[in-house]
Amino acid sequence: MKRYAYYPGCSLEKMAQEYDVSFRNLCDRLGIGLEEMKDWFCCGAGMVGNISPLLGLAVPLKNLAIAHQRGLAQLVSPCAACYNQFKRAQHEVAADPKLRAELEEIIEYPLEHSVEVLHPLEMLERELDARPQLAHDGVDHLRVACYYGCLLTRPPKVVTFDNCEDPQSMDRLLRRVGIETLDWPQKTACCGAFYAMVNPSKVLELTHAILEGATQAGANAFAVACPVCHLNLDARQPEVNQTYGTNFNLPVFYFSQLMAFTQGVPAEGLGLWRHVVDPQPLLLGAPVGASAR
Amino acid sequence: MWSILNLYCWARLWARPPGEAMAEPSTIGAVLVVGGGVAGMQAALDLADSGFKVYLAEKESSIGGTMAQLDKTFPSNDCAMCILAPRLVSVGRHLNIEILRNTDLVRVDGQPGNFQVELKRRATFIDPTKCTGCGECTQVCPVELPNEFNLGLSSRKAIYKRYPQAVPAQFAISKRERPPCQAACSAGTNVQAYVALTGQGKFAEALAVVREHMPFASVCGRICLHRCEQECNRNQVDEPVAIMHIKRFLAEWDFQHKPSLPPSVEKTHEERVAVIGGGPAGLTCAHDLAKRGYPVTLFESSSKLGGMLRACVPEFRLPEEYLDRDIEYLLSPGIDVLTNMALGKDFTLEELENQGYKAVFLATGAHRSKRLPIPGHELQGISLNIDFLRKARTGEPVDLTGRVLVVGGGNVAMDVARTVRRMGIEHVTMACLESRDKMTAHAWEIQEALDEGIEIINDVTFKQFLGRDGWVTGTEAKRISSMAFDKTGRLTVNEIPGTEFVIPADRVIVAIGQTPDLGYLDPKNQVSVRRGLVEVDTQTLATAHPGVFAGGDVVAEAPHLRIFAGGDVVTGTAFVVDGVAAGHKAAESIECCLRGKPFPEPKPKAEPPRLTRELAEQKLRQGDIKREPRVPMPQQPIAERAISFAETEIGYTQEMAVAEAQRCLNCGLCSECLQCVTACQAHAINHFLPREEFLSYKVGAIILAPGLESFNPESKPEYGYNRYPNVVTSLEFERILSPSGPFAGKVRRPSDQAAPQKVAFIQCVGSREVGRNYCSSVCCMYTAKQALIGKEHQPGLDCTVFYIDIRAVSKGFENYIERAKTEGVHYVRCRPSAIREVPGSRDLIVEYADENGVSHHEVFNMVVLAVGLTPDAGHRDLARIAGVELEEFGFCKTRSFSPTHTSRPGVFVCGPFDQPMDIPDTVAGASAAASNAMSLLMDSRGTLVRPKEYPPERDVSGQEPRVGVFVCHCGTNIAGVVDVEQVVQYARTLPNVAYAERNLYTCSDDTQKRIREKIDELNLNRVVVASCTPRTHEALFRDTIREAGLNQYFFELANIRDQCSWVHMREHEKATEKAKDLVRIAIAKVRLDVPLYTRPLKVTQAALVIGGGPAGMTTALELADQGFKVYLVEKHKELGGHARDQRYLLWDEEDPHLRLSQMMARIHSHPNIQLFLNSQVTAVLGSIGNFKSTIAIQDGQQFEVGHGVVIVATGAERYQPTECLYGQDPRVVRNYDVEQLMAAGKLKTDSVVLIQCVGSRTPERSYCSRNCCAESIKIALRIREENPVSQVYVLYRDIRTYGLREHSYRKARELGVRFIRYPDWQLPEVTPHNGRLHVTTEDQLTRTRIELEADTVVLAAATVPNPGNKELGQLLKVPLGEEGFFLEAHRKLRPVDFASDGVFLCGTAHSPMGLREALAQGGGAAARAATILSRDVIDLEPTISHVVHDNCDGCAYCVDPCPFKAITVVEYQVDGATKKRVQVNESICKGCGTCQATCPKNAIFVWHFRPEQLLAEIHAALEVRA
Repeated sequence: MKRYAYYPGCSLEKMAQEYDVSFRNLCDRLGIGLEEMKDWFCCGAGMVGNISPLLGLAVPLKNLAIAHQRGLAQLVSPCAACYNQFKRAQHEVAADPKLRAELEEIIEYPLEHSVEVLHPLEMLERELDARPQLAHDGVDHLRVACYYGCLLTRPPKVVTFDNCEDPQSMDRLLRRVGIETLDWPQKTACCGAFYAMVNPSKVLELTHAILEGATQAGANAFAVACPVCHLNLDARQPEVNQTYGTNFNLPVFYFSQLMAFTQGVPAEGLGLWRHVVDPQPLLLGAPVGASAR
Repeated sequence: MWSILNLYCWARLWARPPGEAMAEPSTIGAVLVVGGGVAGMQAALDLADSGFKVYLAEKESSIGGTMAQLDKTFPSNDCAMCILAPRLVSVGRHLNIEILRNTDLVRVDGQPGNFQVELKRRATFIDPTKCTGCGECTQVCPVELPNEFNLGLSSRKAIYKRYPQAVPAQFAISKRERPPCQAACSAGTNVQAYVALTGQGKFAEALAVVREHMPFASVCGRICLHRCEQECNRNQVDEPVAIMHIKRFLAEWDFQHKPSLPPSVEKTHEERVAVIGGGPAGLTCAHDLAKRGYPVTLFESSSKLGGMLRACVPEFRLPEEYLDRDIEYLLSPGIDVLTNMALGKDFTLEELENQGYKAVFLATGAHRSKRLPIPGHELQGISLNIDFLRKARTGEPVDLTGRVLVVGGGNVAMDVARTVRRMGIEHVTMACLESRDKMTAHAWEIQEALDEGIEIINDVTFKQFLGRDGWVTGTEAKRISSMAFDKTGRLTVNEIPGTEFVIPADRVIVAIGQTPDLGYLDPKNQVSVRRGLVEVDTQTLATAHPGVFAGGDVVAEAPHLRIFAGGDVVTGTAFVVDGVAAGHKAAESIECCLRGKPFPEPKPKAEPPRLTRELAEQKLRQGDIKREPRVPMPQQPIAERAISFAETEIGYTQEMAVAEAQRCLNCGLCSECLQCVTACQAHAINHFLPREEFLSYKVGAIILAPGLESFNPESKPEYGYNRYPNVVTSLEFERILSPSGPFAGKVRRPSDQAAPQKVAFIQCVGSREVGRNYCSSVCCMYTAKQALIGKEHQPGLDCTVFYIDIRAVSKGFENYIERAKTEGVHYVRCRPSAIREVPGSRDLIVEYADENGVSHHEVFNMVVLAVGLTPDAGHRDLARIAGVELEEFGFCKTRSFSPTHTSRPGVFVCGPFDQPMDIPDTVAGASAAASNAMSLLMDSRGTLVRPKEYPPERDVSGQEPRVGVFVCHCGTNIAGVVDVEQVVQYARTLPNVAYAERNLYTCSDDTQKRIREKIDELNLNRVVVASCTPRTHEALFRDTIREAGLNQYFFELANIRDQCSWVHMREHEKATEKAKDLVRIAIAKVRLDVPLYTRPLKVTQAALVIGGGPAGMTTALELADQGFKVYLVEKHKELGGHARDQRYLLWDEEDPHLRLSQMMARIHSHPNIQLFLNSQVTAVLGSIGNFKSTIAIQDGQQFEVGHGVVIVATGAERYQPTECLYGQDPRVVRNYDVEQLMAAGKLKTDSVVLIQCVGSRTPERSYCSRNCCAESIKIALRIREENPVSQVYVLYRDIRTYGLREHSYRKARELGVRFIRYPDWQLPEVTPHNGRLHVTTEDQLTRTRIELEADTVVLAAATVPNPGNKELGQLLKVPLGEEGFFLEAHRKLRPVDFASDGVFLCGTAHSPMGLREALAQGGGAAARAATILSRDVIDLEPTISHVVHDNCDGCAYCVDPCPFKAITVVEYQVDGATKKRVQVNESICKGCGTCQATCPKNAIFVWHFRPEQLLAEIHAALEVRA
């Protein structure tokens, strides 16, 4: 069985544990081998590159070197920020031999054999390509707006994955497991991301527009593939409702939760209790008991 | 009355005077033109009109190109189709233009002057000599496909004409390989066809298509395994089309309506054929052979036909009466049936041979049940499948009780189990080796069985039957882990140890398969048997019977009986459809054998068109396909089902069947249902022509005019094209605006056909961007037009145009944009970043920032993307095949001084394949390319054209009129409304009518022959055709009667189609009466027709070219190279005009000075050119073909020259600015002068400011001088290259670097030239300051005041009309436009012609333009002139004005109204008195009749429309019919 290096990153360790657990369970169910790199460390997203651009590149490349050392040719990175960080570092060294030499010296590892970095969406599409029909039970009532956010598919020349203006990979995957997804206009609109720190009202404004757009399109749930998207759409929904006088009640799923659900992963393996907007009434028809916690 | 001069002229021979020796030409007098758009048509007409044979290859099924799709043209708002249609007709009817439609160039060999070209023509499946274009075929075609001409906004049929006015007017059929459903059917049933016909409600036709290959329609509609549905491409979308249910519906429809069956077929052959076995294979074979006229005897061992179908298929799956109906149909051709005749028992093969049978088909099936040979199999209570089913079906008693076990997992086992269940047994168990998903029974069957309460045990093997008292009590079974058949068919199973268990049962039915019973075979027949099956050749189904196929010799003359076998007897148990397939194959083989024909080679199977999941996704998103689940089959409730032998499925209703059939995706395009073949009364359709053919021609030159494709904005996903339905391309919007478009000219948006209130236009989509760094040249103007026309069609429509620069670079364009602004079109200078759709309303939010930097999210109902023109893969292929080089964006590589020459000599280019350009530039370039070809092929001119010859004309003077009347049915176009026979009867009653008849198509070739015969036979001297419009058909009929020796003007056409049947289609009787009126009127007129003759006019084969600038020099050289005498008149002392000042070219390293000198040298030394320097034309007399002009040289000498044509190339002047210190400060120079200064090193370039639009785009001169932006950029680039530290600024209003000039604009920015936009109408100020020049303006981007220090200021001074234009215009009687430039005959299609025949123009006398364009126009004017100069004589129409001297008193009322200035007043002396009358210049008069209408004294009339004729028509019209 082919095995992928698995790089959960800090988000999936803490904030986005439901992404982590559902993705691992999904892969398990589909017979896809993930091997978590025991000694992985920070990808350098966020502020590192601001302090030292070189360090911002060295950190992700060092992580990839670890994967390579373990004999893994492909690495799966579910967090959109980590993913972006890896792809950008690879892109920059590929374009600049001098920079590459410099970084090779820093990370003490040759960069000629690069590890292929994949987002789970990318990896799953490839894995499922040749497979026959997948199970799709109990999701007929879902009308999902796939929200890709701004980071996952951009910059297009760097991540070279999906179409940055009209991404489809998440839609395709969810449709393969029988979930209806909607064409809606704000798939890649900005959610405000880390503006939450400096200008929270802007985040509310942008999040409100996204919630409004999905509702207008007829969605009863979101699917996302980025922890920050999840945070802004899910955790801020009560505040949006309060600020704008709305009553949105749209569960925000990681796409992996929905896929795992259709493939028979029990509710306990989806991390549903970690949501702010309770997804259980929609997904399961009723909240699961306390035992699930 | 208007006529096109050239229409009748091509018939003239370009013959040289007799006696003149002609050298063998070294070149070939034919030209291949690739592309049938405006460019290709122009080149073809110019060449064919001047003595060359033209092959016009068009990749579509009709010519016309993109222009045919346009609604209006800017800036005159003419209807594009109205101006294009006459040109289409001219090309279509030209004797020397051969249109090759659906054709691509594939190979070019040879040298300039002598090429060998190969072309590939895709079949249209229509015989062009027979198709009359009536359109009956489209009426019956059931297949709807997207209409490409309307860009998919509407649908068309699979047999179609691209657009109503298409030329050639014949139809074409769109085909692909056979669709997957048909390919999957072993019987070859044409599934798509009958599904399509069902979708149209044509059930009888659909059933006929089914039965063509699948005579068991009812049976197959019920129990087929429908492989077709497994292959259906709809599987990639949702669910396959319910093909079987549709077929069942058709059979039920047939059963209910019982239409009469086909009559018996006469037996035309003697050879008797015996078919043994009345099952599917035997019946099919017998049916096929009987249909082909063979006497067939069918032997059946049981009492009824049907074989296994009757014996074993339970009633609840196949009711008997339906089987009977199918068999009734199968027997309809006439087959002798002998029942209760078993081979080997009641007769032998030997006896058959003795009785004279020539062939036998063995189709005895597989009726013997297989036994399960395990211990206990002999116990009582165990029975076999076939015995059981037969008893059940015939009602014999069966022994069933308690628990029943059915052993087996196939269809028959399933039938057994479900029959048992229906016999009231509650506890039914099935057990089989196979796992659930490997059972051969259908999945739906398994599901139904489970629903009915049948238990199914899988993965078991059977060890023994258990019994008590000799009766079975159960079976010992054992679990297995896997099972497989090896190659030889041997079964291996892996048992799981210790899993034995007992399945208790009171009765067991073994249903594990059937084998043939071959006991009847006598070894001496030598029919070989292997593994219990008859062995045959799989291709022919022939057995190895001696003497027949020994050595594979098919046609051996052996007297023996030929034995074939097929169906289950050969294959073992199979499906009905396979039996039918075997029956067809056997019939085919038997016929081949009996007729001594070779067996058909097995055809290689073409891969059917497959829809991939990705493609399906894409089509779904584009809305080309919609998800529609299949119409569910109504079912009996389960409770009733289990106990009933009624069918479980109830069957579709008519509505359900139609709805389900409409889900078909028409994968094969044309379904080959052959309805069109039946409908076409002209017998023009043949579906079985080869799909492509290769054509090979010798040509002297090739002209590439492929046009360009519209950019596909799908690759710019931010605009959401094909994702948001209300985002359309400009070409789509053009179709939306067009009256012949999808919404009949109403402004509608695609999503809901609602009228939009707000429309946004986004410019430069696919142009002016990285990778496509060129301007498409036309979009700014067409967008202004679309906005204006949109507002015209829907008053109040709010239009906003988002643009970068407005590029309105021709005469009248600037005013057109201003008009758009005045009429309320908003212009916003911004490139929007994204479009988003509003869910629900499907409106669109456009995100943009205005000029103040404020961001907006504005909602529009619809967005139009102004898509650019782009070369595609097809253009690259064409370039590769033609061997020509492309430049970086994929346009054809050309040079400034040879704009129509490709990199390969003898191959020329025109139109936007050179670079994006507007229609007039395209047309001028096409003529230039034609001229290039003419020069190359001058010695073979006239060698390959076909002259038309006519018999001597019959003198009918003094004869009573004898009129022949031919009334056309036009298929049903006329006859469907007008009672044609009544019209004919009526015509016969009219005076002077000697003969009247009706024709299916009067325009068809055979009717032309008939008309000629009738003229001869009945001595007719007048002909009236009552059919369609003279516009398209008069010339044809005139020609026909001329061929019969009549004067062509003894003909009239009564338009009873366009003006009668089409407009009164619901009033049959009144329309018939009107048709009679129209015929009577035509007869009244034709009686008064007199013979008229074209007037031959000898052509003086010389040209007068006025003006020796680049355009005039080009014309002179082109014509001189073609062998014509040229008088070139230049008013200055040297040639070259203003181009002499040019030292550099944009994006071309050539030295313009050098090239110009070379041209001048050639002119000075050319033997055909007589050059007059310092000269002027002072007088021009005469007209086309025959001018006499006076040339005055400055020194006082005067020359008189005779010439056939005049070309005006007098150029333009340069504006002398009064602005910006010009003339006051020597450091302020004009762009014209700066190159000289630079070349001389006299320009200070440390800081240079170039100011655009000095004297252009002002209130006094509202036009744009077109070339100055590119010129200024050229200068700026040059300065930066020569002096890298220089500061260069271009102050502009809009940068107008259209076409490939855009590339230089980007390069200039990259090289650091700074572009600053100054406010409209406010020229920057130039003041002297501290010894330098100070330029101040406000930068429109930053809205800040800018002050620049300059050493030199260069003014882009306007191009102004030559002040001599007015005088020359009067001399030549040609008009000037409002700007003071000469006015061409038509803005779009006749850019280098004047309205006056024989006078042409080119270069900046026409309008401001660059060197390259002036050179192209110069060439174009030469080709246009050559169409006249290449003839010895030209024929002038006789239908022109005639003055009746006695009546005319010279009142001159008619003089002013004459639009052609053909009438003058002359004075004459009578008895010493001076009198006046008018005189008509016959070579100018066009016969429009305006004069006749104005004359108060009946003193002027137009021949063929004489007053008495018009009066006769009026009297006839007013006459009350008896």
